[in-house]
Amino acid sequence: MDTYSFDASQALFERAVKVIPCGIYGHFSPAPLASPMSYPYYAASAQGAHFTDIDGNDFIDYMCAYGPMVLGYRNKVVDDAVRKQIKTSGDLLAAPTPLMVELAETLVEMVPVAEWALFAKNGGDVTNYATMVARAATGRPKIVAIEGGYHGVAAWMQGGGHHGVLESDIANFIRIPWNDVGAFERALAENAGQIAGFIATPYHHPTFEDNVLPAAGYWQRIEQLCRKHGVVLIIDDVRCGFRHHLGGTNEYFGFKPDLICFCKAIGNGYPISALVGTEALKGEAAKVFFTGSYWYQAAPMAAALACLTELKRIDAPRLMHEYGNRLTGGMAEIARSHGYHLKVSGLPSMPYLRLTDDPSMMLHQRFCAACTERGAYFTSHHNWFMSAAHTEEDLQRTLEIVDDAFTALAAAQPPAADQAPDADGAPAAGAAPGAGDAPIAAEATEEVR
Amino acid sequence: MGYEAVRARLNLSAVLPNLEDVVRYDPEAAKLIEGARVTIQFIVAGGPKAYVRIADGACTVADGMAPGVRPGRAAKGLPGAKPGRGAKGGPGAGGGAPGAGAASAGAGADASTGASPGAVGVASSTGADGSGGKEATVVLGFASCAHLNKMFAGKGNPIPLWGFTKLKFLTGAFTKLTERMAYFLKPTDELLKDPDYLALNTRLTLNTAAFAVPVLLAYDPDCKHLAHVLHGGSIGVRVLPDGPSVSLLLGPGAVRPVRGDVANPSGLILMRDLQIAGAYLNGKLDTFSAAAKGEVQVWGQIGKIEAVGLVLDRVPKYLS
Repeated sequence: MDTYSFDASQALFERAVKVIPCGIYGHFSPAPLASPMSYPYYAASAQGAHFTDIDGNDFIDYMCAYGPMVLGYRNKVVDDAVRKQIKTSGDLLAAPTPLMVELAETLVEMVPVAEWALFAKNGGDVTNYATMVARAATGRPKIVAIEGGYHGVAAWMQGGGHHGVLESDIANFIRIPWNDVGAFERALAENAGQIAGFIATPYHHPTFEDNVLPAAGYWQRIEQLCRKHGVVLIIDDVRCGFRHHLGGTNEYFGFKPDLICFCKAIGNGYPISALVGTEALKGEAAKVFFTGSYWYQAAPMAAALACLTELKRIDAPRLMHEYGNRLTGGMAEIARSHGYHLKVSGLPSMPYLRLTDDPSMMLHQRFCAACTERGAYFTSHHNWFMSAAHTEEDLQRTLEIVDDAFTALAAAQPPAADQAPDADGAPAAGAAPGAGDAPIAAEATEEVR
Repeated sequence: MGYEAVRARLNLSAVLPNLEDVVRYDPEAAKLIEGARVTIQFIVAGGPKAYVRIADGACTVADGMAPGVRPGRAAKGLPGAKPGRGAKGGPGAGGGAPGAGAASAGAGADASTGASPGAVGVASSTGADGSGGKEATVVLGFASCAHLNKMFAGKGNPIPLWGFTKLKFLTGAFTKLTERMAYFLKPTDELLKDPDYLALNTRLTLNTAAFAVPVLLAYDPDCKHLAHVLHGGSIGVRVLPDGPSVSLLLGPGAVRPVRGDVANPSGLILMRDLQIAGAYLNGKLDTFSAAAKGEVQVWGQIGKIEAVGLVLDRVPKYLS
């Protein structure tokens, strides 16, 4: 199978770094990709579940713009709604359009917890706002969050040690381990009358780690504790929302939060996020000042209305779960046939995969890079995203790519079949490739301190 | 812990150990200590301690008190020292410190590294000036962390507490040795054109970076938040194709830097060549861009590598 090259991407990046800090910043930065040289940096176009980079390489996209693409790029239903809004009425006007009311009504109807909704642009807008509402409602300062949980890029969300974050930014945030009810109970006891809110994603989907579903009864117990102690329960459904359940991922896991933050899949790529909540918090939400220059854009609201309607019409969560199950099951089987062990975690429509044959992740990074070089866009550090636009043909082509990538990987570095399984049931030894093709000599360590 | 205190620990635990490699790799430096047998103890009142042992043509640097040197006696007369307790420092002051440092982009080029401890020499008690006689001990005292840092910046002198007879060695050979270290740690564009200079500068800067990591994780108020990420496994930092390397052994409890490679690292930072390494370690490279261009490659547990990077980013705050 031929592999791609990325000359145009790299040339453009050379231009970019002269005028843009680090060339490409944030979650689109190539820096966490290993090796970045195996990945496209710039996209030229997209359609359905595919995008084409500026070198002309076509990819079956399993990152889906890191979540926002859920119905497929350039989805006709959504794009027609946007075009119609812009053509007939405009986008950002001097006052909200009726679409804002219509969209709020749609969310209130679709999401059982929601008795009101308001809109912003990014997930971080609404996760931040949710913590402010919780504080306003309780008169308390502290927020409990999960270690490794991602809620955006505001200072408190990034945590201590990151550039630009002050001690005072994080002083009122308590991080506890995922799936640890006892830790929450201790936090409540040690901060009696001080905790305003508990914020977490519906299940734990950090980067660089296996994803972890809630333990049996976890959310129900957390919900009970929040009710007992008057703590506002906030679900950050920014990444998961509408990929597992159209009523919010909490419905999938069987619990009721007070506030839910949505973004990504709500508008199929058009910029909009939403906070929904219970009647009890509506008054406090009204008091917390909340706005932004572009938060009333009508076109993204038209997109969200069309997207939500379409997601419901085609039962998109079921489609994505089914596709994800077939993809990851097929991949795991192909891995086994080559002597490797592929662990799948998270939910099928948003899986995280990892080759457990090498705990350092280097083997897995080489595998993902090899697949990307062959046309299946896989990252090694982040969960993937399924969309309703992925087709049977995409699935079969992806599995062919996976098979070819494992063949190439095994030729370069045969699986270590004689090694003892690690905690995940796979051989543990470090298949450390070193640095791709870089010569890594195993020198004797000289300890100096 | 305050700025001066953290900086003092970096000077003793991350910068001073470079004397070892200066002697090992620079013939001129090695010649300076030929035949010498002397231990030079650094004591900071209320702060860290470290010592340099020169013997058999080699130089060894370690945190804490040199074997056989009693803190209380050694520090007698040092302003701020409590009678009978010597210049007892904070956590890690005594032995083994929180670690030995590390470094990062921009670390090595520490101006302060220039240190000329010998410039103010104190001399030994027991004779030997390197002629093969009994090993001498010299104790240099500092009234505060700021005092030590001034000396490392070439702007202050220590207080001789012990070993006055070794004044000649300290003001002579040892001063020249520290000047030699400073020469290799303070590059100029012109100097970096010399391949031999570049190689040793890179090695020393890499060492400084590695030795700074545990110090900053333990004492820098921002870096302490990153300590929980850095446990389990190891991170290797290597200059390709066959340049120097260091490794960080990640806990439990602390990060331990070592020179060279370790088998099966959890993560790797690979610098394409000495030029890239020099730029990276001297803080002249945008690491995100360099990664995207393949000049710096990261492999393995990138979450831990990112945490190391955040720590290394703090080094210039103290050592530039």
